Amino acid sequence: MLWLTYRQHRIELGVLVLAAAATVVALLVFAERAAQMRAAIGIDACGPVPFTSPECGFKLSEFNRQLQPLTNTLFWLFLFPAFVAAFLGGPLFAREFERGTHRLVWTQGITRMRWTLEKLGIVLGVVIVAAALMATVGGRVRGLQSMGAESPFSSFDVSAPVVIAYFAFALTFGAAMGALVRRSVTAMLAGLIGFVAIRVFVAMQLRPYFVPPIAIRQGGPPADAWNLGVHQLTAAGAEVPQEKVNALVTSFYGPAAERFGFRINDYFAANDVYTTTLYQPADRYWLFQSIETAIFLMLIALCIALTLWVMRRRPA
Amino acid sequence: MSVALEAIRLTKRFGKVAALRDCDLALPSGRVIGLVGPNGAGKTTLLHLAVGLLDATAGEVRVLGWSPRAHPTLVLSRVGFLAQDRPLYGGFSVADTLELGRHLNPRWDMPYARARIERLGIPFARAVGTLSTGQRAQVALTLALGKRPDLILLDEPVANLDPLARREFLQELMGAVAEDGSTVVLTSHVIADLERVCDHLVVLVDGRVRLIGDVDDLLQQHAFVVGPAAQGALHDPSVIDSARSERQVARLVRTPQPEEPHVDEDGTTVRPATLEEVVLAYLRSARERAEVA
Repeated sequence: MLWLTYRQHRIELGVLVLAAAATVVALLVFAERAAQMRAAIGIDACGPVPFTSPECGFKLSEFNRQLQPLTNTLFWLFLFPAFVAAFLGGPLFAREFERGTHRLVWTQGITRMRWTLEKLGIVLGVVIVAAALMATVGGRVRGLQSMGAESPFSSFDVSAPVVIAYFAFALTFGAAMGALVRRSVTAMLAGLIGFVAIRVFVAMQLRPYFVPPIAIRQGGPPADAWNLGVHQLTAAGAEVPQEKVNALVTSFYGPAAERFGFRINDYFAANDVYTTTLYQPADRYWLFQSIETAIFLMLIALCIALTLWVMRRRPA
Repeated sequence: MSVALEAIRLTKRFGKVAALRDCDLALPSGRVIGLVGPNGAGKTTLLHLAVGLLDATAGEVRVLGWSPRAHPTLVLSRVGFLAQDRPLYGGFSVADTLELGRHLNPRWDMPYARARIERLGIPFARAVGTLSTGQRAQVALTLALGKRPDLILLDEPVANLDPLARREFLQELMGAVAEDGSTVVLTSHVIADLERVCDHLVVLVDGRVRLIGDVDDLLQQHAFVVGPAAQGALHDPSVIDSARSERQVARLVRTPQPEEPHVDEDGTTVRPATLEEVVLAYLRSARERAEVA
């Protein structure tokens, strides 16, 4: 199976390895340049943001402009797994069904379960190695963009182990879609859209609340924390609907404003609404990495199980 | 008689459609067996069940004595299968295709496979997708034969081949079988092809066996009778199928013993039936019965 999988997918796997290597090189080169630029522009002398002097403002915009290649490469690292889902995962099984070649391999001397597992396993192995390479470098260079104290969370998405889990999930998800729909183009689309949707949903909707965030009503979060922003909460911690906040703001002006000495926060508090800053402290970084990795490992297991189930059950 | 492929009350349903219904069948080993039937008769389904590509809804199929789903590797390493449309990886070279056979089959005979390809003059380095249809069919056949199977199942192996390639393919097949004494089951729509190579015949209609037997026996047991239209006895159970024109009636009849060709006093002509006439008569009569029912 090793020979057959390599022979069948050597072009895709070659492109994958080359793209990974190019990404690693680009990250290293751009990171090196960014570090030099930092020193050359002298931006670190300006202290933490927000800068007070206009000169520092210019320095910052110049730095950001020069940083663009690095920023683009890091953004590419977000997109890369989606391409793996579409171009490697989607056709992996779908193309066999499309061309009828599954009837060729399933009637040689090995079982279709073994064929499925080994084919998927070998490609998955290559994907994981490529992802691990990029993850090692990706996590190191992200901090170069930040001003002042750096939050570990700022490089969350490009660091190991989650990046490796994203890549592995992308492949198994695309492959499962292919086994399910049996059409390459449909599987590629389903793999691409589905992967992006799940990936974004976990990052935006689930990750901020893996553990209840710390809420403060005064002051700001620590500089190295992950700031989840300002929220209007009740004393019990429930989110207040935006309409209610808007209505309160509108009703504040007039007699109410005078009654509360123009302190809108007091008026809000009287209505059980508290302006709260939510954040996740930096020491939760590894806990969050573990939780997100575990979520994707579960999804990977689900995708593999689904693929095997489909292969076993589907009439050929 | 040892049995190469056996079906016992074998049923396969796709949703509400039954491709095989309570099909009982025993194919003798060491023979070349033709499987004929109209589209949708269940020929492909039977072969797919035999190599474990499909699961039976009820009943069972035994290949060389084993169930293909319970003992897939036992069965698959001894059965060469060529699916409809003869799938191959178009991007693989001929050499790669043989290499695939070697990697996936415990009993692969590489010198034998290479010798076949060399004899046929097919270049090893050429991509399979760039070969002619006839050459591609030969490569696919070599892949099926390379594991030196005891049983070879071929689904429409000569469909869409030109007459010359068709003849060459069947010749190659017969040559290989004569060498190894393996059992061959092949399906085809073209009865002439089957007549040339098969010594045993199965007519499958509507998911059931309509006729089965050695070709020689079948030919001896049937006669073609053409007589005046006025003649009766059309509902004689020995009459398999009849065609009436204004002047005369042509019938295919099953005879208890071989009949010599002769002409009766009333002008009735009796002559041996060809295999094609026998098969067509059974296919047609099955359709008429279905229409009556």
